[in-house]
Amino acid sequence: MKLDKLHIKKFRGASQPITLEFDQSKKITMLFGENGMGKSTIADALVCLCTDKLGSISDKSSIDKDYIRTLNCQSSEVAIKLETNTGTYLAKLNGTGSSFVKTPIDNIPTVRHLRRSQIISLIDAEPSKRYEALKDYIDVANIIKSEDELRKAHRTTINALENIRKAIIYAESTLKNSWEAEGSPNTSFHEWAKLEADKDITEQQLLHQSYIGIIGAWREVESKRGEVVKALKNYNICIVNETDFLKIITDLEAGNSSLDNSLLNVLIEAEKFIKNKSEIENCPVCERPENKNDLLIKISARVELMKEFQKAQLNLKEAKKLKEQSENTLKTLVKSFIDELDIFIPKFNLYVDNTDSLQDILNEIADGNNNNDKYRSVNKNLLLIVKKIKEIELDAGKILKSINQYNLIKQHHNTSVINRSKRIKANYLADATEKALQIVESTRKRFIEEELLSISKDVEEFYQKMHPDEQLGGIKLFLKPGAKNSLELNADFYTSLSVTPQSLYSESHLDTLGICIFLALAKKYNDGNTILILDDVVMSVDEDHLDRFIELLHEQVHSFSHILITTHYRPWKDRYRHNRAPTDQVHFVELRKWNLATGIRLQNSKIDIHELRNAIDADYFDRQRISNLAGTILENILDFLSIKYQCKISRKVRQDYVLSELLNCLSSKLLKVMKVAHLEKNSEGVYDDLLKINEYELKPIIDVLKQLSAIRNQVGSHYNFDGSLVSDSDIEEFGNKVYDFAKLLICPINGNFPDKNKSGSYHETRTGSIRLYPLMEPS
Amino acid sequence: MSEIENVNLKLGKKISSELVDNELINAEILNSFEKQLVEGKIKELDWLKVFEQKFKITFQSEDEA
Repeated sequence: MKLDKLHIKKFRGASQPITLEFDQSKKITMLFGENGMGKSTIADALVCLCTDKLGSISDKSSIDKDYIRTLNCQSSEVAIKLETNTGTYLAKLNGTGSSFVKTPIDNIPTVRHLRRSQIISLIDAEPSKRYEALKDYIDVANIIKSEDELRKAHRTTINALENIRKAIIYAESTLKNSWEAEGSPNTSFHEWAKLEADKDITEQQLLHQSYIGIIGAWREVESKRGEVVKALKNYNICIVNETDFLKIITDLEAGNSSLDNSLLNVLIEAEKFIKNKSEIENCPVCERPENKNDLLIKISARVELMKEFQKAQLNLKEAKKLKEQSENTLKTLVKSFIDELDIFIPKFNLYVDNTDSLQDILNEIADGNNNNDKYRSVNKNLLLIVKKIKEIELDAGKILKSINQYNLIKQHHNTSVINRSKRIKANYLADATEKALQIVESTRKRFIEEELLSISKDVEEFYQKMHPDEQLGGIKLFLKPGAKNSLELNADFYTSLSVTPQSLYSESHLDTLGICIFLALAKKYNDGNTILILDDVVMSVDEDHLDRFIELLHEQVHSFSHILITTHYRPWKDRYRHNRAPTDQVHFVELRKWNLATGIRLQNSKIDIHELRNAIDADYFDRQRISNLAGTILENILDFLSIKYQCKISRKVRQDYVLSELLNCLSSKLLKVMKVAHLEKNSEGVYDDLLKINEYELKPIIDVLKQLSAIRNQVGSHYNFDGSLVSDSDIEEFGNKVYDFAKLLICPINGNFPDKNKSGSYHETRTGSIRLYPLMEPS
Repeated sequence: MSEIENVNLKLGKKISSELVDNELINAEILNSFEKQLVEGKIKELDWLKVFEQKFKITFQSEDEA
C-alpha cells in the first residue's frame, strides 16, 4: 500500500484544512517541527482514522474529548481522509464528539503508533502494567474471557461434587445409625435400607388416618360440649334472676295494695301542682284541711314507692327475656354438640370392640330419647371415653413414628442412590474442567512465551545494531512465573547476566531498548499494510547512536507499508539534509509556526544539494544563497572526509572548524591518491565491479574549490567590497563545482556518503555504487 | 482480520485442537467451538454443555459396547 494524501479538517490543531501529500516514491515521511506546530495532530489523525484510539490525547491523565475537534468548531465539521493506492478511508466525528464513524469500516490500514510515553511506561512500569503496554499487539483478551468462564465452570463442578459427597455422607450415616439402632439386620445397611424403603406401608398410613379422624372428631365433640356447659351455666343464672325480681314485686304488692302504675303519674302532677302554690289550707282533692309541707312529704313517699315497684317490674321483664334467649342458645349448642357426636360415634365404633364395655356406653348414648339425654349420657361416661381417646392418641403416635421412620429411611436411601448416580457425571465434569483449564492455561502461556521469545530475538538483534560492542543485550521478555499477566524484562550488563535493565542501563539506553521492543512488536504483528508512526520518540542521542538508529530504521522500512516520523530533534533531520544518512527513502515535511487563524502549515523540504541545484538553475540568480549553500555543503563533505581519514587539524573545543581549515587539513599525500570510482548496475540491478568503472580523481576539483572557497565568506556570509567584485560566473562555478563534488561522493540511490568499510581496501556507499579510495591516509 | 483477531485465532486453534486431542470435546463441534472461543463468547454454561455432551457420547458408546 502506498500513501497518497492525508486530508485533515477541524481536527485538533488543524483549524484550517490541510493536506499532507506523500511522496509515493519514498517509504519514510519525516515531519519536522518544533513543539506546538502540529506534528502530533497529523500523527493522531492517522491513529484516529485507522484505530479505535485517540493517539497522544490518551496520554493525558484526564481526557477531555471536546478537544478532539478544533477550538470553536462543530463535531460535524471534523473529518480525516486518507487516500492510498488501494482505497480511500474517511473518518468523521460522531454527533457527541466522542468517537469517529469510519467509512469503510473494514480493511482499514493498520497503524502502529509509538510515543515516548509508551516507551517510558513499558520500561518503567511494574511487570503487571508492562503487559498492558503490549496489549495492542499480543491481546488474547477473548481467550482469557473464555478461560475465566472455564475457571468458573470448574469451581461450579467442584462445588457440585462436594455437595453430592456431603449429601451421600449425611444420608448414609443417618441410614447406618438407624440400621444399627435396629440391631444391624441383613448384610449391610444399604441392603437393609433398600428393603425398608421397598416396604408397603399403606395399611399403616390408613390406620393412622383413621385414628387421626377419631381424635379430630372427638376434639370437635369436646369443643361443643364445653360450649354447652357454658351456655347451661348462663341459663341457670337467668332463672335465678327471674325468681329474684318476681319475689321483689310480690313483696312490694303485699305491703301496699294501692300500687298502680297509672297512679304514679297523677301523684307526680299533684306534687308539681302543690309545689307551685305558695300556701294551701285544704287538700285540692278531698278538701280536708292540710298543711303544704306535710302533704308534699306524704306525696313524695308514695312516688318513691311507686318508682321502686315500676323498676322491679322492668327488671323482671328483662330477666325473662334473657332467660328465653339463653334457652334458645343452649338448645342450638346442644344440637351442634349432637351433630358432632353423630360424626364421632360411627368413627369411634369402628375402633371399639363388641366385647368392650364402651360399646354399651355408645349404645346408651345413641339410644337417648332426645338431645338432652344424649348430652347427659356423654357427660356421665366422659371419663371412660376420654381414657379411650388417650389410648387411641398413643397408638396413633406410635404408628406416626413408624411412618416417619419409614419416610426418613426412604428419603435417605433415595438421596444415597440418586447422588451416587450423579457422582459419576459430576466426577467426570470436575475432571474434565480441571484438565481443560490446565490445557487452556498452559497453551495460552506457552503461546505468549513463544510470541515473546520470537520478539526477544528481534529486539536483541535491533539492540545489538544500536549498541554494538557495548557489552549490553541479552534482552529477554517473558511472563513472570506464577503471575497471571506480568511481563518481565531482563538484559545483560557486562558480566551481570539477566538483570533488570532499569537498574543498570542509562536513560538513553533504556529509551533505545523501548524503541527496539516496539519496533520488533510492530514488525512481528505487521499485516502487510502497517503504517508505523514514531511520534517524537528520539529526544537526544549522540551522533553515533543516531546514525545507528537511522540505519536500523532504513533496514526495517521494508517491513512496513510506510513509516511516519515526527520529530523536533533537529540533528536527526540534519543527518538527512546533509547526506550523512540515506535520503533516498525519506520525504521531508517541515512545519511552520502554528496559530489558530492559520492552523498547521506544511512546507516540503529538500536536502541541501537539491536546494543548491534549484538555486543555481532558478530564474532569479541569488548570489548570496548559492554561495552560502555551496559553502555549507562543502564544509559538510570536507567534515566527512577529514573524519574518515583522521586528518590532522588544530583542535578546537567546539570543533567549529571553518572552511579553509577543513580544506587545508587534507594532506598532499592523501590528495594525490584520493579518488572515487562509480560502478554500474548489472542486469540483476546490483552494482558490479566487473562492469565499467568510472574513476574520478578528487585533487583537481579540491584544488579549484580551494581557489573559489573565499566566495563563501565574501558573498555568502558577509558584507564587504570584495564580495561585490566577485562575478556571477565565479559564483555559479563555485556552486557547480561544489554540486559536482557532492555528486561524486553521494550515492545516487541511497543519498549517503561512502561511509562503509566492507572490503578492507576502500570505503563504499551502502548500495556499493561508489567507492572512495584510499581506505587510509598513506603514511 | 486485524492482527489482534489473528493472534486470538492462532491461540484459539491451538487450544481447540488440544482439547479435541485430549478427548475433552467432540471433534464435530470443533469449528463452532473454536469460533466462540476466539470471540470470547464461551460462557460457564457453554463449557459445561460441551463436557456434558462429551460425557453422554462417551458413556453411551461404553454402554453400547
